[in-house]
Amino acid sequence: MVATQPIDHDGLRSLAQLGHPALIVLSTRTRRSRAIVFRLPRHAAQGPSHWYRVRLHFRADVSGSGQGFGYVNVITGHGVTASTEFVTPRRKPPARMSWNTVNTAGERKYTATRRVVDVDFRNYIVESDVSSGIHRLVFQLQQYRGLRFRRVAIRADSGVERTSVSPYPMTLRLTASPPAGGASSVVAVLANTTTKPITGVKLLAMASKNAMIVGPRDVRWPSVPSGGRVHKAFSIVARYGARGSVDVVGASSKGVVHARLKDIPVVQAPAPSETRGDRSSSWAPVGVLAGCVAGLGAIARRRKLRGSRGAPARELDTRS
Amino acid sequence: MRHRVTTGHQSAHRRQRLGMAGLGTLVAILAMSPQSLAHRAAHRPMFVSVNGPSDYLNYDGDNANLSRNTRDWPLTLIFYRNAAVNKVGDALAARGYKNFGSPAYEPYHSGSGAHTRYDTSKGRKTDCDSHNNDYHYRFYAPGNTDRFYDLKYGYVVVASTHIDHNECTSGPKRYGRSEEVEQRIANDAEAIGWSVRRNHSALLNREPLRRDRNDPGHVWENNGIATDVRVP
Repeated sequence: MVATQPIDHDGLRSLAQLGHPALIVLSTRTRRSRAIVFRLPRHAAQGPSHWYRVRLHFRADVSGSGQGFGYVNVITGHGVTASTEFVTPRRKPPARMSWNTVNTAGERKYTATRRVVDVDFRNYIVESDVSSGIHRLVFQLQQYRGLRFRRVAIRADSGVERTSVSPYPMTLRLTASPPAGGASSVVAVLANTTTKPITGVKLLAMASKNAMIVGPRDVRWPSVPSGGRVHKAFSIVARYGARGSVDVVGASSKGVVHARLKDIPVVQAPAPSETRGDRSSSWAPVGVLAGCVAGLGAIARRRKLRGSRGAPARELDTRS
Repeated sequence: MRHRVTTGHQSAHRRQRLGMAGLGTLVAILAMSPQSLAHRAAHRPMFVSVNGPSDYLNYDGDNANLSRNTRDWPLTLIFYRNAAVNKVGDALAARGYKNFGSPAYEPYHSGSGAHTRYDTSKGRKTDCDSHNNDYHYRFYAPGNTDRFYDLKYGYVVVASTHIDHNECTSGPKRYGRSEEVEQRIANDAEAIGWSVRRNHSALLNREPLRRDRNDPGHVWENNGIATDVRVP
């Protein structure tokens, strides 16, 4: 059955809504479910505004003798998007069995003496499996060594979900404004998507070779509250050419995020003295040093030539 | 550079160089105090990932810290898509990697957590071959679950590689040549039936072929681009 309605609003599209209201039962004999079709809308992608994830809710009855491990997987096309690992010990029950889930939020591990467990977790779909059009959802069991799945029942409230919650603690968006007043502007907006404040926030901008940032290239904030945003406009001018790119890196206590804006229209610097002012301070010692080295080199060459050939200085000037 | 593969001639040349270094290495090791046996990576170690949000340091280490001077080996392999330590270890054990080594430590961040944590791995290695070499890899992932999740690569396990020379005999011991073991394990993964992308992911941990200044028995060599192995 083909789901004709694309998942174009936030919320869960359960297996029941995708046309599979009954439990999907897998076991050692039937290790792979039939494909369940879902459709993603045009321009679907993982972020920056909308994110797609799967919910995996099932009851597993694990049997087998001795040490082993196995997986209950959700496949969304190219690969496994959500997976639960079960590990059975060397000893027979009531020895503790463990299982774990890993998603973008981190990992969780559980142990129990019982062999029938309920698992319910969500995970973001791998990027390569999020695109517009028809996709297939498949549930799969993998079992190794002594572990066996007696029965795994996938609940009908499993499914595919669209959300606006980013898997990353920070998001960084860049937007370019048209050239005005002799410079283009790139606005960087960094948002805290976590439920706690993030501290030590810093933005640093770098321009492509043919362009340069005018004014401060970095800015800091002591903290950004949960759900809060900070922004900074970077002015950019061209050394040559009409288009450039800007890289912005955001760093905080929660990690690092990077964004790039390519092919921005940039204008030539209005006056060399104004735009070079920012660079000349940092490069001035290098220029002075290079000038000294060049000058000493010229003097040395002149003396050498004068000594070997005995030519007058005027001739040397014309040769060099 | 991106698809550089070690040739047989290059490998033979490196073996010769390692052999000539043997006596000097032994003398140097005996002369040094344990304190000075720190390994210094060519580059400053950094946290890397294919896409995140989890990330891991591009070198493992002798201790649970981030010091550049205690780095042991560069990460050279990324098992991805549906990888887990149990699954990778089981499959490679069938290819001869069934012995355990000594533990090393890998710093990582799991999910969007900011705290650095450390995974410990003894890894797996082969029996000694006729050259008295065994081939050793250590795989790393969060301790609780033995795999990372990456939005681009799916379930991921990373690994460092090196040769242990003369560990099974009384000769002078040397360790290193991560790149060669990376290619060897890539061959083994292909033999298992897994798809391999050699020298595909830049991990910024290139190490020119050289003996470590403090520990000449530690032979650095890595092209800085990890091989990706897709685990079904």
